[in-house]
Amino acid sequence: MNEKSLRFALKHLCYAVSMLVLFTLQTTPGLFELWGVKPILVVPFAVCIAALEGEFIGGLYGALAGLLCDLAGSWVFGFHAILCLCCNVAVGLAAIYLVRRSLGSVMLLSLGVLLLTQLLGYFFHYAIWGYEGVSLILWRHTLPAIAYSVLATLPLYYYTAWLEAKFPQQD
Amino acid sequence: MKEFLHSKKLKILIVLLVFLFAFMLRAVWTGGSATLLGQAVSLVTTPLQKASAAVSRFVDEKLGSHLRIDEILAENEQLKAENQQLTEQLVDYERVLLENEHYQEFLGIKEENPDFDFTSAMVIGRDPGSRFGSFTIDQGTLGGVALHDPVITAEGLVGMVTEVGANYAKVTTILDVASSVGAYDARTRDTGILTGDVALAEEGLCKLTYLEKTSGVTAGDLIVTSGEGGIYPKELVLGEVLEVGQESHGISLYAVVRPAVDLGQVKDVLVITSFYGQAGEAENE
Repeated sequence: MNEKSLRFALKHLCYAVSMLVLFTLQTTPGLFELWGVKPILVVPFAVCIAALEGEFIGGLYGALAGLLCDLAGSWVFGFHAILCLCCNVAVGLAAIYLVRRSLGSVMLLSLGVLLLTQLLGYFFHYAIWGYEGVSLILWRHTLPAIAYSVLATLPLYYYTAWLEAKFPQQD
Repeated sequence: MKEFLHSKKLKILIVLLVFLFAFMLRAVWTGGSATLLGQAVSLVTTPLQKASAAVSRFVDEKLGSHLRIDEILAENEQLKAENQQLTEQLVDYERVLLENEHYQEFLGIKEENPDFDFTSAMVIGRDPGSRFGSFTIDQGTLGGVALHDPVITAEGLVGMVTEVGANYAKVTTILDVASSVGAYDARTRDTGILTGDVALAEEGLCKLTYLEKTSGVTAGDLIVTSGEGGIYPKELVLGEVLEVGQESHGISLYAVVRPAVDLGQVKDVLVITSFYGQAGEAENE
């Protein structure tokens, strides 16, 4: 294995381990909980990877992040995985062709992905069934969780950028 | 962009998408059984979650009291108020005695129900997307847990297993709007259905619906499971009635019930893996 391949393997090992650690942190009872709201960490992390690594790698990590979300929650298994895969491919392409790779643009892209995945989740899981007072869930849980998760993108972006710089692919 | 649309990478992503879609269809088809992919991922994640939950609990127990002094002072005030309330309730001696008998019955539930088989489990994960206190436990089919097994604590019923993998299970609590538990008032024997309500769930409460208009249910009554349907055993404590009101359609009454278990804070649970009268038991024998 040459040095370039080793760097590539180490970087992706770091990404995968970080994803698992973030998943563990986001599901640990009580951790990071503010007024009953917990942040989603794996989705913004996958968005950061997509923005820095491009559509293919981004899509793969998006699928992994989605699978972890499906595993933790009471969603239909695969729902978030499919959504996050598609969204992260779009994020990767946007980062290449449309927007400059900066903290601001990544936070906006993260907001877009979180809004799409969480609002669709809210729609299919709660709104569609017509439970009484269901909009309370949207205002008190879904939207605050999205806002909290977008804030979490800030450290995750710097962490991902640091990892990418630590294992450069160009000699 | 054109390059990507004709690349091998796009084909790989499409194949992955098709696989995920197939897994999703299978998950819908099989209901609460975990998919192979889910089980594979959980093999890695469950031990991590278990370790993290244990560390979190240790830190919470050791440092929590120092970090949450305001919360403890507020809790102390609340406990004082509750103590005052309880003292006033002692005046109604007969009623308290009756309730006490019900609690005694519950505490002796294991002795009275030797048919119960338990598996103890630890809460290892709470999803940020969970709105009704649902959680993941560290026991699955390998520990004898099956789909729709009731989950309890010493205080009362928590909910039901709604998804089970080899080494984990997901529990839906009685706060969930999709939950329905056959129940009755231990004092008056009036029956109803205990279900979740979006607004009440915000305060950790649930709703006993379909009470007859002539029902004598009043605040302070104890609500227990009726055992109808064979999903839950009979006479598990559900909670205490806080208030009674009339439904908007005017046909029946409802009661707001405070669950006996603090569902947002529960850390250890018991899964009832078998009990007399359990649905499907006759077929299994």
